Amino acid sequence: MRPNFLVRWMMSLDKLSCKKATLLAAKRDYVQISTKERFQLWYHYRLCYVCKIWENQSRLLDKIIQERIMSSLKSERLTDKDKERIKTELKNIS
Amino acid sequence: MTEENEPIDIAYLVDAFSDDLYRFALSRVGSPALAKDFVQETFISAYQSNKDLEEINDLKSWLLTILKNKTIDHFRSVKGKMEQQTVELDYRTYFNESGIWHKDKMPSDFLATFDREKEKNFEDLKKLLDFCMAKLKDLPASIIRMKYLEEVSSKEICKTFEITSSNYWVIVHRAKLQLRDCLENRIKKDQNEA
Repeated sequence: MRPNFLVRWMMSLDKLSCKKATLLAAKRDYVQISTKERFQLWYHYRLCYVCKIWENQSRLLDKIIQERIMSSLKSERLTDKDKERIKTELKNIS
Repeated sequence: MTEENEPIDIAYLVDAFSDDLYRFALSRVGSPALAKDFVQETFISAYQSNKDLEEINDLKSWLLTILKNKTIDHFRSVKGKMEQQTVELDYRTYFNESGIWHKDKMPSDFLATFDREKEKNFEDLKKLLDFCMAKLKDLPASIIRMKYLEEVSSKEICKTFEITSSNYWVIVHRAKLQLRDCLENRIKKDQNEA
């Protein structure tokens, strides 16, 4: 007897490898993924704690990178010497 | 802005806007030396354009536009070279043929102990991050830098680098795999040494 539609559908969901799951998680940050994909990802995380750790650390990584980049930019300035050099360069071409 | 009778000359522009231009360039290209070159070239282009500076409404955004175009030209000219580099970083480093994590590349819960004393550790993480970012190839590093700038949309990034959106998240995914792995290795190494 063939499994009914619902069972076949449920079976089809568990097709994510860890590589695909982490890639799907990356995709989800930019586009809306389908309900099936969302369920697949949720299901994969239930089975695979390593990918769950990846997901958590990936979020933390987002936070660290963002803060690092924003804070470094706030304090960056050109030195007076750099500015003088640019002005000299401009005088030379005029 | 300027005093009433003070003429706007190019030297004034350097004093007034070079820091803003520098931060913009640095956020795109990452290297301070390259960013300084871009700022200088921007002022040279602005000077050579022979525009009447008094007639330009928003001098800062005018200069930023010149600079932005310069960085885009730069990315496009080196893009061929950069793409070659990205292909080399293969998924095979992290996953086996069935797409399962390699044993030695599995994310471990190395941050579990880290989280307890938050603030200081967060600062340490940021320092380690610099080390790991420097190990990324040019293209993923530039894309990652732009991705986390609040004012830049993913659409704009795809346009700047002339990549499709699926290419974009694949590049981000790979870069994050590499960064996370590098952080874990560094932290474990530090803990072993301590």
